Amino acid sequence: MSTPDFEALAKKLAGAKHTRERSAVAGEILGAAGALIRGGQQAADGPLKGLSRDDVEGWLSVVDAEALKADLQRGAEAAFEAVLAESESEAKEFQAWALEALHGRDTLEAALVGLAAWEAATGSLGEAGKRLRERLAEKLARVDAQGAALSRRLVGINAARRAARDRLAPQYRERAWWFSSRAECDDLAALWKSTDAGKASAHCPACARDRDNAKLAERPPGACATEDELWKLDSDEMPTARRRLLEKHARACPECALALQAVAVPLFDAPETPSSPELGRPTSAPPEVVASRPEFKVLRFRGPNARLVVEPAGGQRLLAAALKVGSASASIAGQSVGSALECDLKGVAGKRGTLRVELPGGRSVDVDVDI
Amino acid sequence: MPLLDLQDEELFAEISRKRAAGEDVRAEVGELVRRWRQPAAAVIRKIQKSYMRGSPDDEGDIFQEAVAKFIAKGLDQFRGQSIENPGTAAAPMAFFLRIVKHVAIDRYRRQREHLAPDRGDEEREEEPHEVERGVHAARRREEQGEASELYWAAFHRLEQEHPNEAKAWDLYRHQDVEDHNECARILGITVANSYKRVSRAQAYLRAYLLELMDAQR
Repeated sequence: MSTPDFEALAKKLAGAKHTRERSAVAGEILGAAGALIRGGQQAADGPLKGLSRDDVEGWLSVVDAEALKADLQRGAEAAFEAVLAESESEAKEFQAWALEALHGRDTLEAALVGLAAWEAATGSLGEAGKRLRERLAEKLARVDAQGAALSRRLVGINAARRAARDRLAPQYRERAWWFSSRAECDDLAALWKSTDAGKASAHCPACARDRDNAKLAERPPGACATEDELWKLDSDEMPTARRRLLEKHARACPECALALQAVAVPLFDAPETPSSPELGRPTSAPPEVVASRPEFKVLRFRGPNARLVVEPAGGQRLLAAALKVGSASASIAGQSVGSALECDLKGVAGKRGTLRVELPGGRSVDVDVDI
Repeated sequence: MPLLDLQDEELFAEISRKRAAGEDVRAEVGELVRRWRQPAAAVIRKIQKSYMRGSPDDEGDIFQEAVAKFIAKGLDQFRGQSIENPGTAAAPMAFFLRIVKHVAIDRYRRQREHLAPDRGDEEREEEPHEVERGVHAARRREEQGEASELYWAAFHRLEQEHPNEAKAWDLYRHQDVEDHNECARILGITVANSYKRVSRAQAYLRAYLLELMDAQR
């Protein structure tokens, strides 16, 4: 470690015209002294004794611990990207960003060690200073609470972290989690890139636990719908991807098929024929159900007013419907009638077509229908 | 005004007001659910028909459980918005009936699960007692449910933070388009990019899952 130029810092402090400027230089001096101590060297009292209580308390009042949280997160993200990088040069760039983002937290740690040395050399903080230091400690504890999660991503720069950790005297290493936590867990970095988590090696119990837990990402759970999920499905709050997977799962799982069917049960008794007056206009025959899905059913009316009516199941909403007949390029757009959609079949009856129904959440369902 | 003279919506608004003021709402809730008893019974019968099980005796239990859920959670969850017609007010009764429907579904699902033979699980042979089987099934269901919720929470985060990777993952894993040529064609990207996105999605999902598990501890 290069020896800090305390003389230059002392001059800088003497030349500082404003309190804020003095506070900033005070932080630099504390940090420089703390860095020496953390590196296992003796810091001379002289530079620290040049700092007044006002200087130190001024520094404590301007330290922004909250900003470090974002820095650390950015560092962890960059370290993660370094693992996923496609080229060596890209990886190096991310590694450099990640290390730089850790610098702020490490510098503050050094300044706090310097502060302890200042107190030992010159006396204690005043009451206001003690309160400031307590508040800073509380904020820092909140920042450091994310250490375990961030360390998993920081494994992407483990070589550099180990080097930085090893420059610290042993008693300061553990506290510097940004350098030391999971610093030996290079297997975890391999896990991020592995196509099969089960085959990733694990050098410690934490890596083994992470590897086993990460297996859940290998393939989405084909689990049956939970009670809560069925409620979400009924409330139209289920993520589209999950809904699609559940529908697929239900094709092979009778229990879930039954549950989906039950969820689609309407709350109120719907008449056999569509409920709105327009839909109820006279027809020569009662409608037939030509397709039934959890979200809707398709009714076919024959006769002079031949039409397909797409009726939503309870709790469902239909956005649009379009009927494509045979190889025709044009579609017959469904018209809204109440909450249902209606496609006029004039001139196309007796053929076969595909009805596309658009549902909320960007989903669409195609059903083949005999017209 | 006497409770009997209030419309459902007015009564519900009164319940919300009194709850916010920390007042007793038992009388108002009692009046509301009394009005909804018949439609609730109709919903229960539909679910029984759907599951081809249950008896009229079940109705009382299901109704009571639904009322308890409505009071415990439903009163706060009810958002007053219609799902059928967004932007319009929903009837509190429809919300209550949905709770009834789901209590009934859950009841008959559990019954079926409890009674169904599970040939794939050899542990069952060592647990012949129905109670043990029930406990075992409940535990397994809970574990599966937790895993599923974790996975979907992680995927949701992926959609928020890395939408391109999420789309590729959705195609590749959820929609079983396990062919990068096809994924690339659908997404309008190169095949190399498809590989890259799926690989990155998997890495992020793993990280999110581990972080979510940490948060649960």
